[in-house]
Amino acid sequence: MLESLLEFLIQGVVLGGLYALFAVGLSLIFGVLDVINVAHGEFFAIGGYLAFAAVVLLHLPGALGVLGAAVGTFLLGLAVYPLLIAPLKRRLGGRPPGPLYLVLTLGLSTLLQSSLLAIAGGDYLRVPPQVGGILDLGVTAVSHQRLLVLGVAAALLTALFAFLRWHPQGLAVRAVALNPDAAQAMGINLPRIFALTLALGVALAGVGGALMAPLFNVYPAVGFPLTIKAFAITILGGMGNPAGALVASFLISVAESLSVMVIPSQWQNLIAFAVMIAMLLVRPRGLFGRAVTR
Amino acid sequence: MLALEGVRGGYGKLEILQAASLDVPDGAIVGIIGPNGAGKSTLLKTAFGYLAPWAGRVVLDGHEIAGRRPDEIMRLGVGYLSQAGGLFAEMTVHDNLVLGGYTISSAEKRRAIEDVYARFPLFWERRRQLAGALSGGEQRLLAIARALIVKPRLLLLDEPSAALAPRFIDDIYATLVSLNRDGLAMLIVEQNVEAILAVAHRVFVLDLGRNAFDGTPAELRGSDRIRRLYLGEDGVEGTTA
Amino acid sequence: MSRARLALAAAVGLAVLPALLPHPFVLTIATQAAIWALLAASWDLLSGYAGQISFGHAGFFALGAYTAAAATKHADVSPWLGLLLGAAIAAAVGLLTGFPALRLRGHYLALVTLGLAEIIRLVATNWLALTGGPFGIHDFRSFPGLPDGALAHRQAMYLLVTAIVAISIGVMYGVCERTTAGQAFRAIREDEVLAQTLGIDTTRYKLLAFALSSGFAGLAGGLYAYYVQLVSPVVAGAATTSLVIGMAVFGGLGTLWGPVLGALLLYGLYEGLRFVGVVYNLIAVGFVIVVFVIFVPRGLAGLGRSA
Repeated sequence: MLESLLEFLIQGVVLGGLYALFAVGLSLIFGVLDVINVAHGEFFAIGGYLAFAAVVLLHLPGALGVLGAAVGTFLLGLAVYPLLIAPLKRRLGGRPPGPLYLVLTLGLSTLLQSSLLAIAGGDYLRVPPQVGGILDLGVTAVSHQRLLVLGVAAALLTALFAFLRWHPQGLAVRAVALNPDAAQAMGINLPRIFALTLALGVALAGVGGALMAPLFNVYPAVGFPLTIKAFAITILGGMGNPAGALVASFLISVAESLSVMVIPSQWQNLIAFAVMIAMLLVRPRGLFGRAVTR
Repeated sequence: MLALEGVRGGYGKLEILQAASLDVPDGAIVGIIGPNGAGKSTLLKTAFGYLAPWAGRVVLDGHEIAGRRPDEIMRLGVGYLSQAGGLFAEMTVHDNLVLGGYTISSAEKRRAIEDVYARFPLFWERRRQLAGALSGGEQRLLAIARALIVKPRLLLLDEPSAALAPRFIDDIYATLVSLNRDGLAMLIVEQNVEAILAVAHRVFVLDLGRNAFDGTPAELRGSDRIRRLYLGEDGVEGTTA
Repeated sequence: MSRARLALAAAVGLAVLPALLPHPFVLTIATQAAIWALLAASWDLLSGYAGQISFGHAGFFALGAYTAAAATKHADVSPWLGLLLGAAIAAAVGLLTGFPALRLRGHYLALVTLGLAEIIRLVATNWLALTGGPFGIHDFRSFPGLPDGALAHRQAMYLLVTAIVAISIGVMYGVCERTTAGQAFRAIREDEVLAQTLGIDTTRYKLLAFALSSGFAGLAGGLYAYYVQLVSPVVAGAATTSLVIGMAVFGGLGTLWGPVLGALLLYGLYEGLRFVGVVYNLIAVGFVIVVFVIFVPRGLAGLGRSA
């Protein structure tokens, strides 16, 4: 009993690294741009495909595949604000956007997913692990690949939070999230911060996709379920609060892993949504969140 | 240094400025007064690029700046203080000052922030506290200190006296006057007519989005019509909110 | 008024036309397009008129489809009753969703409804005994008394489905345009606080919008089940929601007839593009959504109005 508890706990923490990589970026984008990126999972998928292209097609080392995924999704992400969101914002003037940004990124999600299908086909592609081997912890064994996901997630998220806390550009990102008008009066170029934040957020998902490719396989719709789950996580953590999303990622992943001890494993994906709906009914601001009813 | 000529503008389809013109000579304090809803804040926002003018010209140092973003105008040496001060209340006093120096090199920034701390020891003591935890008067002072880090040549202020106790209003205006002596030009929107008439070199009265009067404070006080209409001496329009 | 009658006559004419065409493919497309039109109209009632953004209509649609299919398959319930059951269950779940929605706006409501649809999809995938799991429910009977010949059956089915769809859309249109409820929906969309101060019982009307919208979405699901004769978890997927929202945006939010037109055209495009290549149809859907949201926010209906 205790052994399996420990085993599931460890698996949950490893999974939490992936969730965090994904949800923190989503939450950051929402906090700064007020846009829920429904297409976040497609950047995860693109990261996986870039890793596949680098490693399988070009025979490059696995690390370059991850790097390529990061750079590729970052560059794609840079285009999203100026090409899609800024034109809509301009056309809206000062009027409230209502659901339009959501619908826009939903359309982007469909567009990207079907483009991947057109380019790469619907097959499940296998990507060899960036690192081989298995770590035997006695109670459980964890593949080095999973540890790599956790390690990279920890390193990148530490770097991200340090950037937001201390770097002048990171302060600028936070300033824009808090008060865009005042940020502009400081000389901060709003469109640039928006584009940069979006690119940064989706690049985190892209790295996640590259690292998970060896564990999940890659196919066009691989990221979408993760997007939906990340919505639940960000609501739990408080929307637009990246630190809250980080904590919530691990809460959900550990809850999912441990749930296997009480309920059949095919139902574990329900947990995030049950938590989300309970959260919205009881405390809609999330655990650490900003107000939602506005 | 700043001139607005026949500016029209507003929010969405709502026209607020119909034909507003003014100019701010180098080193001058210029006041804008007028009844609520006259378009004073809208004028200031249009000058700083938050709102694009629908017609007319906004000229800074001889160059048309209408249509530029606020951050671009800021880099031309213009500071802007919104009515609430525009502090990042959920960030520390120090981080607010660091953001004030966003456009300058880190060495310059460090020196400028040290100057602020030397001049206002209070901010040094409370540098790690959230800006929102300061009192209303302290917040206004911090906002001014932050705007000065990049050494602007012109400051646009939207009601610097709003919601402050009289004692703090005097402090703020004393600070503004001393800054002006060092050559900083200012365009100040005010509801508190007495406060602005005491310091301004020139005053524009705005009504229904149009110029209703401009001249020195003495000329303003000398015009019966304007006094009656805008200084509220017959109770037609309130002078203070 | 005469223009409206003319439009109605044209619509009836167009609706009857495919029934006369002896082409099974055209009939299939036309029947399914009609079902999508009903789903898009139901989405528009809630999201376009009342401004309560649902990202979960795939879930209500699937509830209707699964309820109808399971009732007929497992309990041999008449398809007529199955349709009603599906609509009722979907309306009930929609009503339940409406309660948390009373306190949530915009983004959050969309996410909750998306989560709800995902829950429905997971249940459909995993509750093997009732739903048949990933393979879904198949081999259940359809409406009794239709002609036997393959073509005649399709023609009759088409007329039946189109009639039910037309009546449903007519009811929704009547509610939205001819009743105080429709005015209340629009007031809630424009400014909820103002609506309350005007004495509108916003709670009641929001719940009404949820129940009506999800009920008709469930009815569309039931029609789909009896027409296609296969209900699998795919129908509850986000692609269904995406397609519906795409149709509504394409046609023009808050007009009801815009989303209906959008559904007919986009579904036609979607199916037509299968001939070009099976992957291009979804690209087109994504493209239409992106382009219309940015450049033609009032959709085709708006183009007509401003012209």
